[in-house]
Amino acid sequence: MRTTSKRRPRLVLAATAAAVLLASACSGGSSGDSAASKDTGPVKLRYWDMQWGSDAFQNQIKANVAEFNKTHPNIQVQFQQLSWGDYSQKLLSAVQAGNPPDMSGGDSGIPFTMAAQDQALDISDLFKKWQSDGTFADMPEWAYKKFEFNGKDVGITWQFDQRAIYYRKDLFAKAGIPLPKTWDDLMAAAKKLNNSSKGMIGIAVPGKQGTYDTDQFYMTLVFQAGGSLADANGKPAINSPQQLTALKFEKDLVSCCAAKGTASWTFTEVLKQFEQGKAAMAFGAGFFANDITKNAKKLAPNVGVLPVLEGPGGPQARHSVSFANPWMIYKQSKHPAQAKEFLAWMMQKENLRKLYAAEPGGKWPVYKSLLNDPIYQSNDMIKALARQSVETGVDYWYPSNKGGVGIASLGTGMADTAINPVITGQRTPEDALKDADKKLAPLFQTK
Amino acid sequence: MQDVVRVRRHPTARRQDTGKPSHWRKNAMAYSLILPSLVFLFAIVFYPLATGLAEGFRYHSRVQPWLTRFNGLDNYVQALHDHDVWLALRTSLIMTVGIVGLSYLLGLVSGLLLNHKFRMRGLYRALILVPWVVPPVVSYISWQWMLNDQSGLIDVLLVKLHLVDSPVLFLSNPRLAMASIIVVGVWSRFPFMMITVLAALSSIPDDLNESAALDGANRWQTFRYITMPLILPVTVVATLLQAIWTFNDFGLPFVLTGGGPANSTTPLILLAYKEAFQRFNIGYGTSLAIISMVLMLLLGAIYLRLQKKQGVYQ
Repeated sequence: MRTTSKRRPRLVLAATAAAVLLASACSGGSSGDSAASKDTGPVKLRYWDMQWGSDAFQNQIKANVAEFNKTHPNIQVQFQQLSWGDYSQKLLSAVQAGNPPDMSGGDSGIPFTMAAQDQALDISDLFKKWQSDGTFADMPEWAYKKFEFNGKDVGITWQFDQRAIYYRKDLFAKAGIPLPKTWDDLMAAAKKLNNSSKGMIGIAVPGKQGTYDTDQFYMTLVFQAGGSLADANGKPAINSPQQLTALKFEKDLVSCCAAKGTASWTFTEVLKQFEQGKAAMAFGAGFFANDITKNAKKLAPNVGVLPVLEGPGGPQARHSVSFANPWMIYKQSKHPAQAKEFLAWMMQKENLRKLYAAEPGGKWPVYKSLLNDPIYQSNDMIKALARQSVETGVDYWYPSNKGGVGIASLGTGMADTAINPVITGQRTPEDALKDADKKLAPLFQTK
Repeated sequence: MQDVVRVRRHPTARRQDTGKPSHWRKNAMAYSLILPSLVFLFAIVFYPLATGLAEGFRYHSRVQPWLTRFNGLDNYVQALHDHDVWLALRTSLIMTVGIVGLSYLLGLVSGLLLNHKFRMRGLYRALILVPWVVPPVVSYISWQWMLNDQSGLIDVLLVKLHLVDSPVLFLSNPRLAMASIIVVGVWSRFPFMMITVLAALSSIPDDLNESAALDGANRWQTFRYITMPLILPVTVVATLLQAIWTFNDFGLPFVLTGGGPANSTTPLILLAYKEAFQRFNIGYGTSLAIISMVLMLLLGAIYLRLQKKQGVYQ
């Protein structure tokens, strides 16, 4: 009898411990705004964003948030930095758990991914304000048009991420080659400057499977051929004559004038090859300019940025890839008004300027009037990149974002199924595009 | 009085009368102690497993939630007709056979060598374990740098020593990329095989080898008729385990080649990842992972059967 009576409290204790553990395991993180639900105290907002750049840049984001908090005592924003590796999964999981941030950044397609889940808050009222107060007049049209989706405004571009072809001024001058303005000029220059016996390649481009670098050169060519990833009705335009032209051109260019190992190259290898003086031209990201200036000091004065080329699509298709990276607000936010207030504050030119200035040449402006700012005058490369991003920059959702959800879901699909197999000679451009279309078209199904 | 006494009897009295407490009562404390573990197992193993199995029978794209529906065996039928799946299975098989086979051979040779007594044997044994103790991703990234055709250490050395005219495209040529994956896989895994072989060798009594020597057996005969049969059970178990780990190794191809060139190094597990997490096609990606799991369960069943034969559970 005594034994039994002693056991019971133990049993109760064990069961209670299990229940407590289960409860603590199953309870998701609360939205962190319990204080906000009370009538007193500041509203707490959660803002998540990517690791966009150097420590200086990240510190400036934190400083901007701190300044907002200081000047808006009724709102307190908590900033959380996400790693690139799994940010989309984290955001999607948070959304499905009913616990997303109030505002977030992300890759250039995240508002479409969230809109597909009916999670993106329509910020049309902010768009109207920005339209009427002249903000949009100071922006390239693509910065805001891109996110007008299915009659709603699901995000706003806060920075462009420019891609371009860098070239060696000294090598061009020595060989007497004028600056390429068309695809034919580019091919001719690459052929002339390619000299394998001296370890010099005509052009360095990324071609590795499974990375997001590879499709960026290809998409630059697709736009210049007058093509796109989706048509005006949102249907996939992968197996199109324009994409075929672009893929054939890339295959020919890589075959004649790029490194034999291109199929395993990312931007890392491209940049290294160029900085070591072993490439006459290199397709790369905007950050190349800073890296070259910092790490290849002798080379830097001889490096320029090629003008945006004219391809088979003609002068109206003179585009460069420039990712329009957005901020957006989530529909599940308990404080949409305050989140919009924060977004509007962050988008103010003077606040964005502080971010751009923290990493000169690392981020490209959404405000045209900033082109003449000292941030973008420090050297010719940066000046040219800033101008190109504002004047010719578009991204994968151009010209129509009706296929926005499908485009946002492509991942490395184009690189894996079309570009890499073609430049390795394993598939013909025709077969590769047919296969890519078959595999990727289901992603473009809409409601 | 008799009624009052009856009322006051303890509820367990009837049981006590029989002298045998119920099974549950007898083991209540044990059950209560394992309850938290069971709860966690359910939360982190059984529930995700059940959810995953269910996902395999659904069309579920995270960016097209309106299309989510039960689609029966469609994902598996699609996988059967998917050229990439067959290519990935072939890649998984080549990787597994190549890496496990070669790492076993290397492990066996190094185990046999290090089983002899010589100076600084302990140091050599410790050094040879280095590839195994380095975190896999760190070693894969280091290998990726070394195999880079432009600035990688290996190509630089080959060119400087005039062994090749131009850099070898270790990661850009489909066949060489697969060979590179196998070499790196063998490098990182053979120490495990070596330890296993060493452990098995140390359990062979010295008098068996001495008797064989007295009977006039040469080294090869001793190895063939004494050493090999005695280390065979451990060998089979170790290679089976290694096969399971290698088949499921996502990091090696992901870091080294990204699955390329031209999908030539995309094993099934990497294909499942790309479908589920890059194209958000959770249903199809999960079905590929389930196919992989079923194949591994078969290997696991063989492993358990062998363990049982060896009397581990007896």
